[in-house]
Amino acid sequence: MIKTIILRTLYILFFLFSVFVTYHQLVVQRNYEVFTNPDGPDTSDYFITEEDI
Amino acid sequence: MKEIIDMSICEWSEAKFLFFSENIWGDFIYYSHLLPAISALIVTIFVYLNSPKNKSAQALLFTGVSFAIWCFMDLFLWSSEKIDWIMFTWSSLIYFQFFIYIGCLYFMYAFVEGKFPNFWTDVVIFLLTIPLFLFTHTKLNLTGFDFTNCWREAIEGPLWQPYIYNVGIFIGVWIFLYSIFHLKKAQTPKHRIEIIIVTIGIELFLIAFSLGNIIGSIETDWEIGQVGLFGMPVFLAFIGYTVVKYESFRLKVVAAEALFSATFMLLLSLLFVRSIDNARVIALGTIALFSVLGFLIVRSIKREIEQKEQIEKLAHKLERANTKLQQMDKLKSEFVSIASHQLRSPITAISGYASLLREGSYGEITNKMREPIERIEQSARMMAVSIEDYLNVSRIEAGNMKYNLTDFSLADQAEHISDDLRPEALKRGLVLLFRKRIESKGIVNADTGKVQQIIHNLINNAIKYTQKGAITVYVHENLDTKKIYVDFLDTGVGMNTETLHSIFQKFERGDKANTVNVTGTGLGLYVAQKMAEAMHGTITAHSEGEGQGSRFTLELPLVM
Repeated sequence: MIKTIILRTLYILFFLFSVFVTYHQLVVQRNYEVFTNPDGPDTSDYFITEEDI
Repeated sequence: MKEIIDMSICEWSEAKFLFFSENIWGDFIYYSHLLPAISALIVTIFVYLNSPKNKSAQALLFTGVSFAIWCFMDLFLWSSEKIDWIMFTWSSLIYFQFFIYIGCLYFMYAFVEGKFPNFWTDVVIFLLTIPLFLFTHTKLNLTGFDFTNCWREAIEGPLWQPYIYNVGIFIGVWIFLYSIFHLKKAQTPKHRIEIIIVTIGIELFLIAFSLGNIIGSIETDWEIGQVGLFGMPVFLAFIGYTVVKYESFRLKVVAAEALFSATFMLLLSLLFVRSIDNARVIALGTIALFSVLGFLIVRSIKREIEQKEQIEKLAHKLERANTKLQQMDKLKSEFVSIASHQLRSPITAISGYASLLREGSYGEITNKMREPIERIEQSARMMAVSIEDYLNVSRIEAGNMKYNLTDFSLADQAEHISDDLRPEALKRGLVLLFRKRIESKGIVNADTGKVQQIIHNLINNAIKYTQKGAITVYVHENLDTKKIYVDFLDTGVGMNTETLHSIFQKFERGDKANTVNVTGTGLGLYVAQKMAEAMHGTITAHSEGEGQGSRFTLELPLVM
């Protein structure tokens, strides 16, 4: 019983920590790649530089 | 210099209240998400609230809530225009997909065995989740965001394909094999059918849910994935069927409530379907799905109403029978009163006047007259005793016998009564002896009058059933058990085993009653036994056989 409780508590902690890290990476750091179709239509105008803003 | 996306070229609309925006262009999206999510929430919460300690209900709630969160998160993905939040929500979605699988597995275990899987199953689940703990935030989960042609989609990495989809298949197979294994061990046919129905429901749900997502992921056509969500209402329909048909979870009203709520949500979600043709298709599907459940529930409610009507009829009959019984009881009481006052009083008068006549109060009587007068007196006395016996039986059976408990010496009472009845015994040529062997004072807490009546009755019986020899009244005690005993030993006709077993029953008399010319109602011992029991004592009878004499023992608790 104690073993199960410890395991499930660890599980919940790992889950919460993982979600927090994901949030930090993707929402706070915006650490993801944006793909455009290299073989499709010209998408260079999809991007703007910080200077253009 | 960091490049950022110019989202304005895509003309995405801004989502309102997280889930509502013009970005959602598929007619089915709201319907396919809201119906399964809310029906799952309603049903699983209802089931849980009705039996919160039931493990199946707990696992079902976990599955339902995980599924509802999954649906709302997915709806948010369809609606939102914020890339970072889409990436985060899509990444986290993998956990809830996993939780749905695990919830199904735990539900199956709890439904079949009434308990959750053991520790080692928990360990396996933990090990299966480790890749998610480690890689959810990495490109192994979502490779990136696809902005091509203004698509608002993430590109799923190996954590989704193949890992989580394979986990889904693995869990589906696990549940199937577990079910097959336990079908053989099911204790009742009812439980076996329940397992089959629930397994089919879970497997259909997992197949629909996983297959929709796998095909959607491979084809990058997420509208296909929406169809898979209807696996949940199918699963719930199977659960609902077991609830209604087999009263699993001991619920019935829940099914009706859940159906009403789900139908309400369906009608609500139809408001979001913009195409009239599609609305018709949806309405047809809705009718087909819920007409089956509705039929089952209506049938179930009909049965309940029939049962209720039967119970009401029985209650009415019972009430009438009770009224009749009360009337009979009243009549019985009236009879007892009549017997008491209108029969006993004349008998007393007859007995009294006969006694006065015999004693010469009304003048001298001749010897010829004496004998009939004595017979009148004796018969009147016997009739008075019989009436008293009948009255005692009535009082005992009505629970009206009153006991005035006081402390007194049982040995003294037994000795006095023995002295009183000794002349009667002598008249019949019998010796009546009294012996006692007690160290205590022989005090009992009982009704003196009733105890006197019992002793009187037992000595009288001994006199009546003994033609020659002696009658011994012997008082002794057992200080360990704190009991005092009065034995009534005679050298009379004795009893066989059959008579011994029935001697304390109403209207039972000894086999030799007629041969020894004994008169009586057969109620004396019955009344004596009931009185002794009411005073926490008892009377027992022993005999070695016919012609071997008898021994009756009155036992009462000692007051120390």
